[in-house]
Amino acid sequence: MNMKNLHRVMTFIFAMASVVVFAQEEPTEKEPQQGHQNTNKFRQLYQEFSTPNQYRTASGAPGPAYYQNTADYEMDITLDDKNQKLYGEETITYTNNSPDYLEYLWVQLDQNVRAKDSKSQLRNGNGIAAVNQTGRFVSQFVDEPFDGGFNIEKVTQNGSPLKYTINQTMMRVDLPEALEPGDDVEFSIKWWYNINDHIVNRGRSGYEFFEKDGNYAYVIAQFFPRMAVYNDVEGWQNYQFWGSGEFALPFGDYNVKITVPADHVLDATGKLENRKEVFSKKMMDRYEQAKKSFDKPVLIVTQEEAEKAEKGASNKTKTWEFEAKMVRDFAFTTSRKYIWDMQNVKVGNREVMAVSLYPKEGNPLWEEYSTKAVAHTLTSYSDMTFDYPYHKAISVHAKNQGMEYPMICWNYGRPNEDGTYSDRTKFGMISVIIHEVGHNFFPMIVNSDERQWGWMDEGINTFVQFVSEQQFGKKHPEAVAPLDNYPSRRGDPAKITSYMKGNQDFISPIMSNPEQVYQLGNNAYGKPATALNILRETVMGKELFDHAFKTYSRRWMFKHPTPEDFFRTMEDASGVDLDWYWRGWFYTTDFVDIGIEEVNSYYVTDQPTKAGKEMLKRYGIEDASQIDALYVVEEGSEEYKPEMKNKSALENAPKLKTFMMDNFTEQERQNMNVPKHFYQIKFNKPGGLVMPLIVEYKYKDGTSERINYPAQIWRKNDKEVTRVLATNKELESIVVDPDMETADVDTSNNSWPQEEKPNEFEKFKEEKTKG
Amino acid sequence: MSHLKKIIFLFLVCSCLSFKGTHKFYLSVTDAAYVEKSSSVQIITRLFVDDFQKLLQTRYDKNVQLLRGQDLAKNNAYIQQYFNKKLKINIQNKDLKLNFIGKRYEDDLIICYFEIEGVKNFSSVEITNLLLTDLFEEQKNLVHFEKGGETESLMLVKEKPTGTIKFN
Repeated sequence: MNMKNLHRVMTFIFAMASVVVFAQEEPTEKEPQQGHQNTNKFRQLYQEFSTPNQYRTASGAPGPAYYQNTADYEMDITLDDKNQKLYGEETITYTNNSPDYLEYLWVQLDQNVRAKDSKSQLRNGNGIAAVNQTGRFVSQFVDEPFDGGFNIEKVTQNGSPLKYTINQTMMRVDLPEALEPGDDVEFSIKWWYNINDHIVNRGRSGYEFFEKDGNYAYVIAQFFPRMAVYNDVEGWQNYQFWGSGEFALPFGDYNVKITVPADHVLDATGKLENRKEVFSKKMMDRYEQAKKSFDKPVLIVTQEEAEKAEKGASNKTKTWEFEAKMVRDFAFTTSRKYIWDMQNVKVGNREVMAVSLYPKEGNPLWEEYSTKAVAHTLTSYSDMTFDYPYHKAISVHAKNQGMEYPMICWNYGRPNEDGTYSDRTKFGMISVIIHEVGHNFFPMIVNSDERQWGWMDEGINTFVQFVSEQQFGKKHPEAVAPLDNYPSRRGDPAKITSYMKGNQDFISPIMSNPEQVYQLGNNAYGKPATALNILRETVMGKELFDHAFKTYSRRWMFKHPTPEDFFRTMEDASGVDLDWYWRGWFYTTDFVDIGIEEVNSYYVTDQPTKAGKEMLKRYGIEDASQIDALYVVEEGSEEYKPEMKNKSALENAPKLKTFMMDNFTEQERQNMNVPKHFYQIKFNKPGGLVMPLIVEYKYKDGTSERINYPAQIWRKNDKEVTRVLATNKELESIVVDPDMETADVDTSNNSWPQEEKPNEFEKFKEEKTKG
Repeated sequence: MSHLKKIIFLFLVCSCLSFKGTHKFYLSVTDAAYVEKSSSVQIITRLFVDDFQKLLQTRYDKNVQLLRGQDLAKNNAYIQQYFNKKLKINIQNKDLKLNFIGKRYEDDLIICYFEIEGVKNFSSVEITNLLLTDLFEEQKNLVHFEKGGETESLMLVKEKPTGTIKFN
């Protein structure tokens, strides 16, 4: 018998003793029990997941019959800067790679969310207050609503009109003949709309008017009728755009011409095809320099030049031409106010331009941090996923929004008028740039359905953002000083606990449509990001997680994944069963709360104890001396004698000593360590989530030991579990989750002996009066 | 029970300003607790600091800046004045006076501490919370009140700023 076996024997004896205790506690009479279905938290997700098929495999990869349809666009766009109107003509080539015949196509008219008769304005309940601010009262009850929304002038095929029906933000285009599998169809739409003020009307797209110089800055998106996605999961994804659930879009190639005032600076999704026509000689030279600058941005348009441009207003126009391949959307920004800088970034073997556009109002913050943040995002995200495949990434300054499109995004972060800015503004800006540039990976390339699953892009992206921000802090310590780490708002487990222990009436599972959740920020961003962070740091470990995460990213790059594709891949590529984790964190609103209920200390003896004798009696053994057994005595109980504490187990139980001498050689005995203390710790779990049980045992001699019991320790009892700690050292204290890495919502039960901690209020008040 | 929750329900606010600029969220969270041994009500209110700064600027003084590491008596006086006007704790038909203990900052939040002293045991409390509703129509004010281990919550808005909690 080696030492391990000895341990086992003693633990067995010990376990038997506790069985007796439980047996005694059982009530003598009880109600007959009812049966139940499998409610074990470790059961597999067969009921929740759809059945794997030829399109999507059980391993989480695209299947042999996987397909996706494509939409290519040729567009001619004109901006009327004087009246803030946008005009467009587009020709869409839609290719049906599905095995189905399509009788009609669905086209998304997202601008209609701002139409006068939009249902989106009516979707929320409201009330009338006893007191109203006059301005708000007027805008709510008196003012004409903004006349937004698409004006569709015509929908044609080869010059002949096509029949179409508009249902709020969706337009069904009826085809004369069904579109066959493998075939494509070409049709055109002519449209215009009034551009909204995105500051007042709060939009992802629109203009900002700068009163002081009379100029507009446009960030234009969802500006053209866009094809909906048709796939094996939803058929046509034509769930209305109500405002919260974002977009589901097919990939395609774009050729876009945009005509704007000649003194505007413009950038957009795609490659600028006529740079020599729209750039001055000076800009061309600077652009060539920027291509060679890998360490800092080069100004293409300086602040001085931008300020000069602000004073004019050209009546001439210029047309900018872009070509983009394999993108799911197209957006652009234009203004005569813009300062423009660029630098080159090495991403794997590729070179990518990091670009920023901002009016002087963004400085001095933007010239310092925008392009730096873009460059950092490209490399850090690429490390976690795949090399960024496009040729550029642009960050555009927009007063108070953050919004993402392929290769281009809008970001907030505006200094005060005197150029000063708080840390909050600075970190808010760097974070939003990392986040929005990061969206190029999720969902612009790993193209999930945002309309249905907000967390698949926002949550996954916020998780990578957290990793990227922490790296940014390491790479640019001067930018975060005097802090040691980048102050990430989301990702740290301790930051999500207040949400997760909140009122259940205002919490939804992560697996909810964004339109139906109460707190989109926590629901689609904070909680899933934290869940993935904990999965990486605590449950799976970085190596297994990172490989699986990269596998998911690469499998679904330029494709349309579902939540199950993600869940399945993470398990398939790591060999870690995670159904319990997905079930708890993503499908329920349960929270983590694990604590220590009690700790009992035992000593071993060979004298039959009362409990021991009773147990033997149940096995028909009346005379305990007939059997060779060891017993345990609880410290403080009737049979406990204080001297037991100072004696070794061999002294407390001479029978054990003789057994050892009879069965082991002297040498073997010397290598054995007979434990002296037996602690039985009862852990309880008031929280519904199962999580690994991370325990730190501190001993009186100053040493400590950490044991990480896997989450599976809860598989047979979801409420409580006991563990025995057999040791030679006397125990001083125990802490559950000592590094606060599991998002435990109540840490007041995490310590033994239980500490009386002052509450948050008392702690604050005490510090206040002291200092 | 070993998991007696002694700590005041420290509620969440986290992250309500989402990155999609269109969905700026207006929310405050107030955690109040009755502490029998000191006959006091302890109040912690979390507000978005940019919203609160704008409020103080609009209402009192356009130069107000709420900055980490600064503790101006003038600003504290505004905070005290504003809270006494907008956050009312009424027990036995009496609006009780909030004493401002102090404030601190956490991420994009300002956390304000108030205390009401000399409160005898009660079974019912009426709370009116109009914080920030004079500036933001959509402001929601969540209040958690803990007494004797029991926590009750109210979601108060401009149209319905008052609620009553009864304890057993």
